[in-house]
Amino acid sequence: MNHSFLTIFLSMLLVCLSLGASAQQDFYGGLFPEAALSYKIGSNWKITHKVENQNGLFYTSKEQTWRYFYERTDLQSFVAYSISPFLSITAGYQYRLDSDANSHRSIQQLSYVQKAIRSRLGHRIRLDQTYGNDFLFRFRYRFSVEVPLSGLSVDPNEWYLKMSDEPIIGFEKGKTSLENRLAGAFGYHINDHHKIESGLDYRTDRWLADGFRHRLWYKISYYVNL
Amino acid sequence: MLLAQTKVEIEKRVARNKVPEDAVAWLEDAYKNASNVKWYYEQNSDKESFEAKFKWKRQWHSVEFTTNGKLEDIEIAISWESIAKDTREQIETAIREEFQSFKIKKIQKQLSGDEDDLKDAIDEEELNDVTIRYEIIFIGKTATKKHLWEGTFSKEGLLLTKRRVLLRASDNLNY
Repeated sequence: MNHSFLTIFLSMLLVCLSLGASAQQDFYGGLFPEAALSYKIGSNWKITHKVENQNGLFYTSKEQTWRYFYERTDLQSFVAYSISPFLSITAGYQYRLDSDANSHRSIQQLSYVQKAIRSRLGHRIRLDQTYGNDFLFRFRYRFSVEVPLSGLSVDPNEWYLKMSDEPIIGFEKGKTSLENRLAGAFGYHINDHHKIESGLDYRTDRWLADGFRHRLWYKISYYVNL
Repeated sequence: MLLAQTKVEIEKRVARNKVPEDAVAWLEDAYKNASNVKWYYEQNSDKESFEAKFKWKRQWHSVEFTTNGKLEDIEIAISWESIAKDTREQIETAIREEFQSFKIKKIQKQLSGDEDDLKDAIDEEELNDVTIRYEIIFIGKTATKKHLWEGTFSKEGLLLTKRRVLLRASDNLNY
């Protein structure tokens, strides 16, 4: 089962990358570290702060170049209310430090976690509104699956595999845009308070516009739960 | 009523040849021609055990043994409707005594007793000499909180023990 996930992910990645390379489309990426800190306030409320940062290392348009460029840093804070042990609603705010122009974003989210026999499935529906040079409204749905690499559940000091896909529909200045984010990572559950993930995040956008774009990030994520 | 929290510390897949011979022998005798049996080793704060998980006659069976290969119990995943009506009503009454509302997520019928009687329970469906209990995982709602609970009920539906099930943080799936 784990091997099938990995094979599918790598195949999709290779197909996408070869398409991108052959069509001479915009293709760039680099390093994408992120960290999240979550803690409870009361029995049903939880706060999460997250910082993520994108640093470009390569850019391929008409010719391939390897160079460092700063892309963006996102500072996010969320407050979540647990409707049930598996379902929560969340409101959040993000401030983006961008290489072009900084922006503010409001976020609303509904998350549902399903426990299957030997995996956890995550469903996340998110709306966000970005207030920058122009107003952008987006509707997003992310499906994630987390599979333990040993036994039936992820326990302390155990590895797991996480895969996710998130289509995003955006509306800006009367135009509709489409983006997709496919990601796969190996995770290590250190203990109930700390876990680390490392993997690839492959983003494609401008599906409905000119200049189809691929972005491939090596992502390293650290989660702290107090 | 006992209120406890047991936490699994290690749970990993093991090869059949790492499992005590007595356990493998009992399983192969009781479940003739069972296929796709997966063995697991589990350790928590109280004990260590080996567990076989597989599908048998369209139901998920989980058979637990001590590290010496002695059979402990058999758990069979069942539906709410398959429990006798009187027992269901008693279970509902017992849960409603402590919770305003509840939603059942998983039910397992637990069979325990003598190894020979448990073998008869599986291969001859003879249940007279085994102890039957129901292990039910449910979301229980009080005035202010909604948590996941695991309750063990007698054959008649009386609540014997309950413990809160602690869920692993899902921050990596939510953010």
